[in-house]
Amino acid sequence: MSSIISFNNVTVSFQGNPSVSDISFDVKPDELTVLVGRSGSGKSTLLRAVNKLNDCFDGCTTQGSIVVRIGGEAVEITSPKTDPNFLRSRVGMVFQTPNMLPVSIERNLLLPQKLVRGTSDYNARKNMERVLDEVGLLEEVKDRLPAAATTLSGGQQQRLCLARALALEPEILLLDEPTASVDHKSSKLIEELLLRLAPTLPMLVVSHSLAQTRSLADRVFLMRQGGIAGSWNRKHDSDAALDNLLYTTF
Amino acid sequence: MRFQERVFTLFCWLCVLLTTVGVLGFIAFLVHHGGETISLSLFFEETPPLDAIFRFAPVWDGIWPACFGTLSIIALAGITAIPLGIFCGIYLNEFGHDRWSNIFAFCMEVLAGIPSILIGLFGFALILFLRHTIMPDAKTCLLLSGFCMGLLTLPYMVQATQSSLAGVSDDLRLMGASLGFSKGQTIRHILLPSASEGIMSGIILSIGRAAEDTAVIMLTGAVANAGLPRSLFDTYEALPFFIYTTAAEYQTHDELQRGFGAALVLLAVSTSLFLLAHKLHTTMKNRWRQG
Repeated sequence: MSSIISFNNVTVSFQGNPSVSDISFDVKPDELTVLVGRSGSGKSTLLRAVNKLNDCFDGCTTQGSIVVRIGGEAVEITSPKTDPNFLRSRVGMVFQTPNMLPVSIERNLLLPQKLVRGTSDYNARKNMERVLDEVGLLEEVKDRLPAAATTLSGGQQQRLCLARALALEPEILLLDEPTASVDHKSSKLIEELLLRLAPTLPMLVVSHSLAQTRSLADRVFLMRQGGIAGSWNRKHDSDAALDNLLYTTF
Repeated sequence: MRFQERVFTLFCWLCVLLTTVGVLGFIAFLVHHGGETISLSLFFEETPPLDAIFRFAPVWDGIWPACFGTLSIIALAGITAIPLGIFCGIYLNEFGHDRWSNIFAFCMEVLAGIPSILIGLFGFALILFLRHTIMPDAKTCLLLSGFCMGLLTLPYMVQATQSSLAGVSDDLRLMGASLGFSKGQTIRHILLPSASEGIMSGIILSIGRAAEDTAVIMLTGAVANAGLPRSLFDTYEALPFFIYTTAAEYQTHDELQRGFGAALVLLAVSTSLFLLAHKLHTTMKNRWRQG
């Protein structure tokens, strides 16, 4: 099966200092790919390169080629012709800490749909209910949708962020340590959700958790000092090989 | 250390107390001296109020024309400075990372430091220039005063907008971008509402400044006993100018009392506008939050 994301000799530098150097690998659409590595190894930078979010930082340059398959077509990310807003609307992202719009719960889900996809109010509300149900939040918030999103617990906020990303019906989902700042119960809920979504939604996940990587990953790439230091594939490698790889990291 | 902390806390409390007593004392002083004069006759004298307000009937001895003039100046200054200041502030914080923006920021700082009498003098010189060039009939007027007042309050708006936007977390910018919002959508739908408290403070500061400044208007169109202006190109009366001329030239105790009454009215006008701005802000913020 062809790749959904293809990195070829990718180097990302900030003010001339490379954070990610000469990385090449493919992300398959039917596999949940996890990036692991110590802090500062370049995982988040690589993740943000996929949706051109590094461009929001001063002095960032990306070299090499990143090809993403959107709507059946190959899009070269590093090409200046690629519209970052379109790209980001098709490649969803969830951050490490819940990043809420300082508005109500429902507006957090409706506003991006209306602005980015031009969805009508009726359809946006239908989508809202669908994604809230999908992330297991509907029962918890259905009576307080007009309340401020910041009144939700950390775990609920992170699931709301996930729902917001899903409401835009992305073709690829990037997750930067999505359970790093939530409690154990929420973490389990999010992991279960990711496993449910994985067969239909290609995902690239950054993780710091050994257990999470074991339970989620179909493929693992170990990053060290901005490069790929090792990899693991569920189809070809043993569990012991994964443990071996992870122990070299954590 | 503990003793020092207590002294520090006490000092802070004393400062707050002193300021509160000062403000309340000032208001009490105004009410004591001007409270008695507050009546319809202070505003309209013998002219029927409804005729004066809705039919622009002339008011010969009341302060209604001065109230109208002050409100007009505030409105004109607001129209000039608020949108211009907000967009300039947005540019400086969100787009301007080059040499030109540094030059512009420097110009704003210089403008903020210019005494208001010089802004008035600029307006006056502008009229002289126009009279000698393309507009021989040009004269000092309400429009000129409003424009100059807008120039005076512009730096407050620019700096309030810029500093408020600078205070918004970069995470919100990144979140907007990650959702596929364009830069304009991020500014319009995320950053400006998040920075609205600070921007509103700038607006309130601008309203206060436009309401009270006398130096600008006395050189650009305010005249004692001008009555209601017939157009934007007419001279006008204003409350601070009325208070100033009364304080400088009063002949009787009653005239002085009317000056205090006018000061009280100016305070009430400013406070009402602050409250209106605050109410508008709360409504807009709620609408933004709820959708």
